[in-house]
Amino acid sequence: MRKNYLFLLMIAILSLGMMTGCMMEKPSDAESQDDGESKDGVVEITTVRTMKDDTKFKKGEDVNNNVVTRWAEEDLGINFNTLWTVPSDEQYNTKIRLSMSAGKDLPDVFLVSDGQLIADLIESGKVMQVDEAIEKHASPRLKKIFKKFPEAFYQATVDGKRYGIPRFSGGNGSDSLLWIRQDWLDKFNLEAPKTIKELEHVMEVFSTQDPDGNGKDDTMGITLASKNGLATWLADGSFIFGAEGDYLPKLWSENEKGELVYGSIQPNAKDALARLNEWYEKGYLDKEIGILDEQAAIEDFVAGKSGIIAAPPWADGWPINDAEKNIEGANVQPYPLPGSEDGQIGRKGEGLTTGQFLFSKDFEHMDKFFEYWDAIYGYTLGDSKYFEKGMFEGYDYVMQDGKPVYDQETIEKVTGEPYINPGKYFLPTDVPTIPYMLYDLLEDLHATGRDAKNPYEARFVGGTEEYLEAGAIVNQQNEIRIENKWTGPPTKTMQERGELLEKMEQEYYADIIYGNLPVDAFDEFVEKWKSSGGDKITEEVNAWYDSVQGK
Amino acid sequence: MRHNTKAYKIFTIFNYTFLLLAAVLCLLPLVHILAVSLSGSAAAAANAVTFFPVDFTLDAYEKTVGNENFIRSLMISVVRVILGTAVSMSLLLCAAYSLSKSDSEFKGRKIYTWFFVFTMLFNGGLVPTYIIVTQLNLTDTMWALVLPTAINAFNLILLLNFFRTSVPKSLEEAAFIDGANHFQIFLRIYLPISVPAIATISLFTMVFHWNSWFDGLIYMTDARNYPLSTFLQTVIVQQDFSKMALNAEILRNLSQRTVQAAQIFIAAVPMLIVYPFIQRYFVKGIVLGAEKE
Amino acid sequence: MGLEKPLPQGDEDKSPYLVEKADKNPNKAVSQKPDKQPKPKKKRQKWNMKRNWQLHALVFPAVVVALIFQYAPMGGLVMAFQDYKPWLGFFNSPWVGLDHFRTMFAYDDARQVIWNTLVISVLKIIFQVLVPLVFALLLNEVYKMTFKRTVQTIIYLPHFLSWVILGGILMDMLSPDGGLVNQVIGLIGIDPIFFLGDNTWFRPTVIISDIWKETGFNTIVFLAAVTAVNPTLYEAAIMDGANRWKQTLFVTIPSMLPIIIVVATLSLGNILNAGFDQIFNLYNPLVYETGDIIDTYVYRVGLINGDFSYGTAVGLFKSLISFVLVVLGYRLAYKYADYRIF
Repeated sequence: MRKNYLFLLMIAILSLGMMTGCMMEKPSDAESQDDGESKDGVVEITTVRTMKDDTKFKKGEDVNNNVVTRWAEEDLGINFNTLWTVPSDEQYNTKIRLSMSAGKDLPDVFLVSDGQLIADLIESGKVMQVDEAIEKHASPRLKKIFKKFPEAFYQATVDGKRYGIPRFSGGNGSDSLLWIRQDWLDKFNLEAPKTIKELEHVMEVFSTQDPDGNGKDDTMGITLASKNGLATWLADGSFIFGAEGDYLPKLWSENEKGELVYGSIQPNAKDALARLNEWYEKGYLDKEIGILDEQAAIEDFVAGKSGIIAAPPWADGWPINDAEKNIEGANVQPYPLPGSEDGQIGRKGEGLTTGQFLFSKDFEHMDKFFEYWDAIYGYTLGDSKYFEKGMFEGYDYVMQDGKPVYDQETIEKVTGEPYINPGKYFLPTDVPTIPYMLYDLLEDLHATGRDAKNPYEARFVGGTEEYLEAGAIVNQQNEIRIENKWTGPPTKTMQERGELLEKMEQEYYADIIYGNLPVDAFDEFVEKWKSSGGDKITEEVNAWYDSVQGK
Repeated sequence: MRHNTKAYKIFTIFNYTFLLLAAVLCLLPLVHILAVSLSGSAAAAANAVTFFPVDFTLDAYEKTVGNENFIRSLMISVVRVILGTAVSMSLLLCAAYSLSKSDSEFKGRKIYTWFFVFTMLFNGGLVPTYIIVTQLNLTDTMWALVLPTAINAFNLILLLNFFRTSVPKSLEEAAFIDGANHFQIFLRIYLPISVPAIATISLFTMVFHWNSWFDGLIYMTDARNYPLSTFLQTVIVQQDFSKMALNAEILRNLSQRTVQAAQIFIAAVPMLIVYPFIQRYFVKGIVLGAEKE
Repeated sequence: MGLEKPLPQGDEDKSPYLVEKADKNPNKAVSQKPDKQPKPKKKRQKWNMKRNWQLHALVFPAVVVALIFQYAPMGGLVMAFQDYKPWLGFFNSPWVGLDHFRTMFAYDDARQVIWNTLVISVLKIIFQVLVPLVFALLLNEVYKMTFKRTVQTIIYLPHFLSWVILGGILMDMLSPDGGLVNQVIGLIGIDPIFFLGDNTWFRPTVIISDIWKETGFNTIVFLAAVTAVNPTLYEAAIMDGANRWKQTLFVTIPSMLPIIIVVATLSLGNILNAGFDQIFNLYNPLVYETGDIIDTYVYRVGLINGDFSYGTAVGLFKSLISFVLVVLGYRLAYKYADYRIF
């Protein structure tokens, strides 16, 4: 009896084992290589990519079969084959390292954002040098963009040779401005602060006069995230440092002599820390500021406990929007960042790139790649023979009465499917951007109220008034940007001492803000930082800076 | 075996109260997560949800379950759990039987045992394991998820100790005298008597397979082959914003707390169903053991 | 009869009920002492020897799988002595000898980090044996089956929640700005405590929250051990007039002792793992002094360097220490409890 039972169980498990064989999908590279190459003129380009949850597909489509891959195959003669996808950057880097370890070939084209991995890949000798290909195959308008932003290539430049094509950021896309609870300002007849001193007055009122009227002392002045450094992308505190001088924590920027110096150890950081300590003691800041990362920090603002946050224009969609939804009567308005009384002002400027596209040494179709690159940039530039009305009908636009309509709701109504942005299927994993272009456009749209001239612009015309205004404000304050000029791989001393220095910096910063250490402990920190390897790192960083500039 | 002294009654009251409190304390986070998963995203972002949903909505579940790959991943996960547990338990039970003998009964036992203990403490790490799995052509197969983790020395040692403590030697000796061999004794005496232990270790193995997601990510090149836990990782990921090209459009979807909560809840539910079922065997074991007297 | 102190059950015939019961039911008594077989040993040994091949055959499949998937990858440990470059592989990557190990000890905060790791993990090991044991024993006293099973299931639940999630929940509960815990202690007039940002409180917070999450796990192991206790032992004890407390002390715990020793010894293997996921999600610069552990340190180094070698070297070091401790635990268990755990 029991024996039969066991026997049956065994059979069941074995058949399950067989079944899974059929269930699993084998990667498709074998088949596509056969028929893909043989089709006349169609070349195969292999790639790998991260696929985040914002990339969605229509039913029946996937990363290797969608409206973009079909377009590329039909109109450009390129068959894109994505060998694998992972959801996050960290896993992506790990997987590339692993497949190198297992001796697999690199994909033809792939995006890498980690500086060390870029350096490793270049060192491995398996990555193509692209100077010649750019010269030979890039279209004039691409060359023009490349020439305009030479620093964008530094991350993948070794000995003056370029190994990567930059994936441009929005330039100032994640630079911040102040978002203030207008309803709170109005309640106390306050003006938006133009200087840090005025800001302090507003914060004093916000944190002591019960702006939410609930009778409890539970509000604070400003929301800051400090766990990952105070100069950051959301709940940014960089302007507090910028109001004291031209250097920001964790950023390498040029001094008067054109050398790169580390912002965390500059005298203005000490002044800013003293100020933050004062704010903490006065209750303007969250008591937990030391343990808040960006996403945790915004909770206070969204919950209506805080009246001010420094965040980029896109924050209008999230999290500002959530705050207005959550709190009855909340009205959040964008304002320029404040500076000191005597006009000293500065903010963190986003870098020019968000990674580099690298190419396998064995890749033979750079001409095809640049044809594709020019085609997708054509959409952004509003000058494209493929995307005159928009990217793809039924995706980012639909035709109504012979005219393209870009409104998401209309699209969803017409197609009966949720709106999908096909730009996510492009190699850069989004519609390509050109630094500063977007907020230039927003400023223009905000000032003139004009109509869109092309499908790319049409996506932004419908933006909220606050979004356009915020974009305009950030763009008008462009001259106060402080950028991180160092984009190279970790230097030798950084690899040895970097972790220690960073830990030390975080500890000193947190302890000074919390008042566990006197502000003068900052000087001690600077000494220690320099002697524990910081000076050497500074030398190395400058050596790198000189080399990429071709000095 | 009831005890009716006054002291014991007082103890019982205290005991029930204490266990109840502990249970409530352990249940709270899950209730909180359930509430968040059923709340509107704005309320969740403000951290305004405690134990009851605010702005009730099923959006988060639709976003997760509505994905066409969800059912597929769920199936793969179910198969993985069954196959993985079956493979791992068969290997471990057989080995544990042999290793539960005394040194004199089984020459070489010591070497084998240390052989396994060693694997518990030393491991080659990610890179070499990955190379082996790829070399064996196991990527994109179920075996990549099942075999590398099949031998868990911790479970093996627990099992062999359970064998020693719960199987009466007298039964075994009697069977030997009746002419039974090791295979028969293993199947007919050891397995039935050790049901509680087997249930325990099976539970651990199932939970392990259900929760593992990193191997799915590494060994499956096709996203359609992801087990559920890996798939759920792709639905919500801690994004590295500092390196993203950000625009308003992307960020509309970013208040993910509710989705994250739904994901955790979905992942926990199957185990909630399976566990009480397995618990039957904790008791059954005693009865069986007693019958054998 | 001297009932003063409980004695390990492996110690021959020192526990009164084991003696009692041994008289009544010799077979059962033997089953309680697996390694110390009385007289029939030699005789059985003979006919067992013939069947040794069967025992070998039963271990064989597991050995093969372990060889392929566990031992073969151990070759990769050479990475710890190399400057491993993925594109060069294990054979061509440059050798650096003990450089990685030297770097580890030359690290200015090494002593602090190792000390934190030890303190946190030792406390965790102690509590993760004691607390689940208490829970298993308490649950054993519950005769309402539904209640027992429900509680058992529920205390296992937090195990399913990752530290990312629990970390977020803890931050809310422990917030000095009106978090639940601070509200409660506020009732008895204590000022709010910044549990996650205060060096005095960080470690206790870590230990207690770990107990909260993982108690259910070992409780299950111990409950399975409780079910294996021979009922006749209790009968003997009752005949002897022992109350429930004494039965627990002199029957239940001694019978569970082998499993308790096993669990405790095996957890020694984790002596240098203080719980990366937990610490990583809870710690912050304010508590680096008491909360930074080896794994979080290695993680931060990895973030900068991105190579596998250093992590492997630290891992190897941890393995060696764990190995020594497990061997020691094994020896001690044998010497003092007369029990071979494996």
